[in-house]
Amino acid sequence: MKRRYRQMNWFYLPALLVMLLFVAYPFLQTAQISLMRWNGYGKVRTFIGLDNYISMFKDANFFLSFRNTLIYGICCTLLQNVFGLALALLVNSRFKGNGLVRTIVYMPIMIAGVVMGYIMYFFLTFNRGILNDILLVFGVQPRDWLSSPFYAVLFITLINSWQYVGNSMVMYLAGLQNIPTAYYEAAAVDGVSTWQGFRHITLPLLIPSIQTCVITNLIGSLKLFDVIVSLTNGGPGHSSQSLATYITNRYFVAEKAGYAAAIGVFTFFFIMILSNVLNRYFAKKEVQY
Amino acid sequence: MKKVLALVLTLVLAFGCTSAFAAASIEVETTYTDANLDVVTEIAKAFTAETGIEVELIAPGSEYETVMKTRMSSGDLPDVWETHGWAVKRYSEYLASLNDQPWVSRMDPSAASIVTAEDGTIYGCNLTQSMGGCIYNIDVLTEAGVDPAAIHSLQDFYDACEKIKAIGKVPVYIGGKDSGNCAGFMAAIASAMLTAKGNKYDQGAALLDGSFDWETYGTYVMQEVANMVNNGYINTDFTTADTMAQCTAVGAGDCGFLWRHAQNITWARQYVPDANLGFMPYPSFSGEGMAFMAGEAYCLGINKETEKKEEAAKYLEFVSRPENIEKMCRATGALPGFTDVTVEGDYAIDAFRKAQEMYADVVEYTNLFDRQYFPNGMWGVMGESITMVVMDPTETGIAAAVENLKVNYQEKKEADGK
Repeated sequence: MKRRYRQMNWFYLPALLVMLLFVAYPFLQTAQISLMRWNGYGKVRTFIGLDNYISMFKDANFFLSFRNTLIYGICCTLLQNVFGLALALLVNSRFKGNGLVRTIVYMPIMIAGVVMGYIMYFFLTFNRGILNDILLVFGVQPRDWLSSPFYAVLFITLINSWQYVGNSMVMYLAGLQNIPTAYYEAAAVDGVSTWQGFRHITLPLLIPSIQTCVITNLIGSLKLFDVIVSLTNGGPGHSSQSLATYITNRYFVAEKAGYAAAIGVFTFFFIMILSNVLNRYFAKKEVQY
Repeated sequence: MKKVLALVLTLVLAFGCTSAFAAASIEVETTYTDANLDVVTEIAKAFTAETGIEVELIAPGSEYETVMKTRMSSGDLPDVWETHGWAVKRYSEYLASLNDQPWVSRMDPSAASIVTAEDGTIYGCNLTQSMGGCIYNIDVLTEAGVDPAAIHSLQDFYDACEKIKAIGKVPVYIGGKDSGNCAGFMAAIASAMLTAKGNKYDQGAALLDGSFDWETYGTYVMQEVANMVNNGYINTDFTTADTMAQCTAVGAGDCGFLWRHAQNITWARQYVPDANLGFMPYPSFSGEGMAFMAGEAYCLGINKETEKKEEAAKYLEFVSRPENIEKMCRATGALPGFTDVTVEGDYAIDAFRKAQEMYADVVEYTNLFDRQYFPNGMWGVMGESITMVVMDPTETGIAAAVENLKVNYQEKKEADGK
């Protein structure tokens, strides 16, 4: 038996090697760079200890990016899950045009995030923007929507949530279709209302789907990059930067690779701890049937 | 039988993976996209037809600098790449010397000087030159009653801005979403105030030796930008407008001026084909001189560690033939960097030639401000600082922008070891 287990171990070796090569090794390199002063391409690297980390905690733009990252992470996750579940419940019922609704909701995922950002940029831009042109027809003066930090963050959140809500819908739909109908039938005999059925049967049995959706949406939104770059480029100023875009900005624009790496290390640990906490929380909520 | 088959297949695979039977090829990284890339591709195909050497073109578009920095840091540079304004300052430690190449003597002295290091080593084949200046919409200036030939000093320029503002147009348009547009603007203002002929404070030497007083002179420069914002000379959608927006604005007559290189004229006419545009050098503080800022446009260098140096050199020789340079100039609106190339009938180049005549008595040609006076890596910082001032044109915003410039200038100067 032990020999058989030993043989089984070989099966996960390729995955382990890939993880070591593409996750562990780059991470260790990033951690090493975070202790250096380096422009990101030159041959001279100077060891400066923890100076980059100290600078990070003194940098107002870092905290702004961190705050935005939390907004993108929490708000996008909430919106995607609430609307994803609602849409899954809708398309799980029988009605004419069900397939069309699924296709329309899922379609935005097929567009690359960066392309979606540019499409929305042309929609929201001040001069010749589609939204302003429409508003002008109704006598509303054009407005430079993305020049306001509030609207910039709001539009990024809404666009990202809308683009990926189809993903949550599909995951919840799979979860809903796995719930045995016998539970609902028994509940109906007992006179349980629709809301009570949803609250006491559907939700508890959907915990594995909720866990998967929340964790994947949260990690995706915390790493949000492409829509921000194409829609606002982190602006106005640094007002809509996420940690991911700020890392790129510091690395390639400010040419401070060591500093960018320090933010990268912080982001890695932040997302890892948050994911673990959420995983443990949902594991406790899981029910067996 | 199976073993023999396996052995044969293994050998075929092994040979397939080697370059033993592969045609000679070189990897060339280019900044160009769209129609400009078509011309680069056409030239590369003609090169392959003549020499049998394949050219693998890589065009990362707007991510060019990012990709090149990544490739530099990972030691994975292509055989030939566009130096994009950085032949000496950024890429020289990775580039081969080109002093012995047959085309060197044909390079225009001003184009050659940009790609030549202090020790005389030539690092780039500067096929076309980028020329920074003020692009203006002729119709807007006519409507506002502004004579561009009468603009020499910053004050003349501000007077023109007032007239343009009076007819309800934006005097100066900057696509601030793209950091390079802001950096280019700062380079022009700083040059007019600090270093160009007719400047006010004559700080070139101090900038070079590191004794530059940022609190005093840096503040003067940023105050000048803040004044332009406070006087309503800059577009209100500065932070969200991109390069396409700024080119469309000047082409469509939404604004009077664009402070950027002449290729923007070509791009503006791609968006607005009947755009009526002119070009002039940057005004100086006193008006005593005016400056065109020359830089690399289509400039190629060879990786000093490539094993295909001979093939790469042949490629540069081919691309530098007059007919190929002319094609690039026509496609991009850049000026030829070689003395034996003349381009007639190109809108952007003709506008530049007219400006040369119009300002013949005052014009001078300078290198890009940051390439000459700043340590390596300040371009992005300049863009960021201009954005800070435009977003907050008060004393606080100016002080923050000056501090940002000062800290980065000192850090990068120290890192450069100069």
